[in-house]
Amino acid sequence: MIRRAARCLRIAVLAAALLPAAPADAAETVVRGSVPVDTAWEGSVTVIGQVVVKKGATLTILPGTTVRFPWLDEDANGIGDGELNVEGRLVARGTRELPIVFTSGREPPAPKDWTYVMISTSRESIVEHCVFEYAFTGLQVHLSSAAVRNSRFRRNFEALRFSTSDIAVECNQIADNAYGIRFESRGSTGSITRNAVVGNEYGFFPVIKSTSGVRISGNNIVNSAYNVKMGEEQREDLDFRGNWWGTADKGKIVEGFFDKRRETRVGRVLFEPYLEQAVEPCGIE
Amino acid sequence: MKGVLILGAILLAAVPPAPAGAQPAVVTTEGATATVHGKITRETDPVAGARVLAYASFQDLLSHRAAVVSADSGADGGYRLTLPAGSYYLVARKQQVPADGPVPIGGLFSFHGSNPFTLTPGSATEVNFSLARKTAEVLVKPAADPGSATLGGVVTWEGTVVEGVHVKLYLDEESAFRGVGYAVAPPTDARGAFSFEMLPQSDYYVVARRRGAGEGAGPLAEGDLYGYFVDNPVQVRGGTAVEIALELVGKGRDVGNADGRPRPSGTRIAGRISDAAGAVVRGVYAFAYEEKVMAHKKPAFISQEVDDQGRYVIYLSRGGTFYIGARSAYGDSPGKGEWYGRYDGTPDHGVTVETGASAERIDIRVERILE
Repeated sequence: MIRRAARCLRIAVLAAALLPAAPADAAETVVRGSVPVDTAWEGSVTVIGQVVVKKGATLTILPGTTVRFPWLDEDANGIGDGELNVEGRLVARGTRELPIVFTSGREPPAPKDWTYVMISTSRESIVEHCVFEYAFTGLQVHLSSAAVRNSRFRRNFEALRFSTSDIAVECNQIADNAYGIRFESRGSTGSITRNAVVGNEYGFFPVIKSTSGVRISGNNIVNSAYNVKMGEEQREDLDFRGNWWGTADKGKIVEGFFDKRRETRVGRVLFEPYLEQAVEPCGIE
Repeated sequence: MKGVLILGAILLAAVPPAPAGAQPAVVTTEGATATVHGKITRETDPVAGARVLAYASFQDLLSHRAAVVSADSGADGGYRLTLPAGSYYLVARKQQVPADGPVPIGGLFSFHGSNPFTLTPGSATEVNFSLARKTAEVLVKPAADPGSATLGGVVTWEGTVVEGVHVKLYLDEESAFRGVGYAVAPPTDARGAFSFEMLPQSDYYVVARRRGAGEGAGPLAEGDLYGYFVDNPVQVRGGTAVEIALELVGKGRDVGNADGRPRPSGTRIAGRISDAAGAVVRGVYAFAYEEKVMAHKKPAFISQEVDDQGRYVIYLSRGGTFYIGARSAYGDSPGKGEWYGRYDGTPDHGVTVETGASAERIDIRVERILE
């Protein structure tokens, strides 16, 4: 493992030589522009503006790494410009004791301080034991295959967004965001299971053209406004069977849906049978 | 770029609008002019005595303030219009005088599906129109449910009701009446009828399409049907049931060509599209987007399909920074198995090209999504 990490770090040094990046010191790495070759990050990493992991390159982030996105808003849209756009492959595999943290670089931090980590046209990216906080969207996955496990999403505007992907979203805690999971599944497959989607304003937000190709079951979904909010163009019914909604009272469960029961033009949340008690947490204490 | 736009605005301001009922003005300004020409037909028959009206803005179209009006089309339906270079909404009409103002019942009308057109100095653009007839005024009745509003009607083509037409509502012209719109009604039934229920009070632009290949997005193909309601926008007020009659036209060559492809111009981006092994991928197109996040966005400009050596050219109506990608399909988001790629020469896939200049060797590598 140590040998492997050392090899990764050598690659990082090589990549840094190709980049307009200027490490402040050994413990602090500043990254701008693109990551064109296999690279490893560890320690404290500062991402300036948009950084792209190019096609064919793998970015490995080692346990205990903190990736900060300093406040920068050149387009003055109120959302920090910092983003990590992975078109190659991302392997962000933290541990329970040493998670990887993606966070704001300003004090005091606030939601939308940076844009997102976006995995796009990537294959087999891995996100485990990570923390995403103070982003517009913590993590977006599009046109990709990715596994997102044992991670924490908090104080973002949106926690997780995906479209047209093969995804496994398991054992994550998605709490204290405006939106939990927003998706336009557009043919996506995979599963969202054993997650705690709790304490957000909205739990799930299927926006448009979503189908039930991604199995969403075995989750705890308890949020303040709606647990599922169907988008105005989401016409198809969606399968949310087998989840815990914070109550076993069917009438109260239905109150947590913005769907055909409230707006006839949108689809219906299919939720029966539902769990009558919460799912045991996994991955994160 | 900014200088060109300002020049265009000055020239437009110098062209007096054609007064209602006046003889059409055939404008022959010196300097930066462009020409539009083509045929005006109805159900494939040439229409003589029709005129093409050019509006400098969509608001001008709504206000019936044409910047330039063509002379009457000839016996073969042909027309020709010279006007200052710039951006225009083009409409064809045939009716008794006045030439502008609301279209009367029985009048013939066509709002071109490729509006707005950007006409570069010295360009000659072929724009053909197929005319639909206005058969009724908008009918407003009390709604059965006083708390809601509805909009419905019947769609016809060549005097016959049409089943399977997708009627969409748009709130403004910003999308150029393409894409998903504000709302889409279920396909018209065997009586050609469509209906929107529980509409919020608003003004709506009604646009209808029927594709021979079924529901989908992208440019219409020959034989598809298209209709822009003659009295757009339709006012829908609370507690009312609004009924309209919408006649479609068939897409012939260049009618309802909503794909955003400009004619060849001096501003272009060109390159080659290949797979990971460098082999030619047939049936793919290059796209120029105005926003960095491309996948769910509508491109501003599109190439033709690559040639047998994988080469493409995107003709642009103006310079600027564009984000370049390639796909094997047009419209909607890329799907699984589709060829997809982005220009990799810059981190954000952007290419900057000056107006009148050419960016070459903008090569794109594509791969099949999730395969």
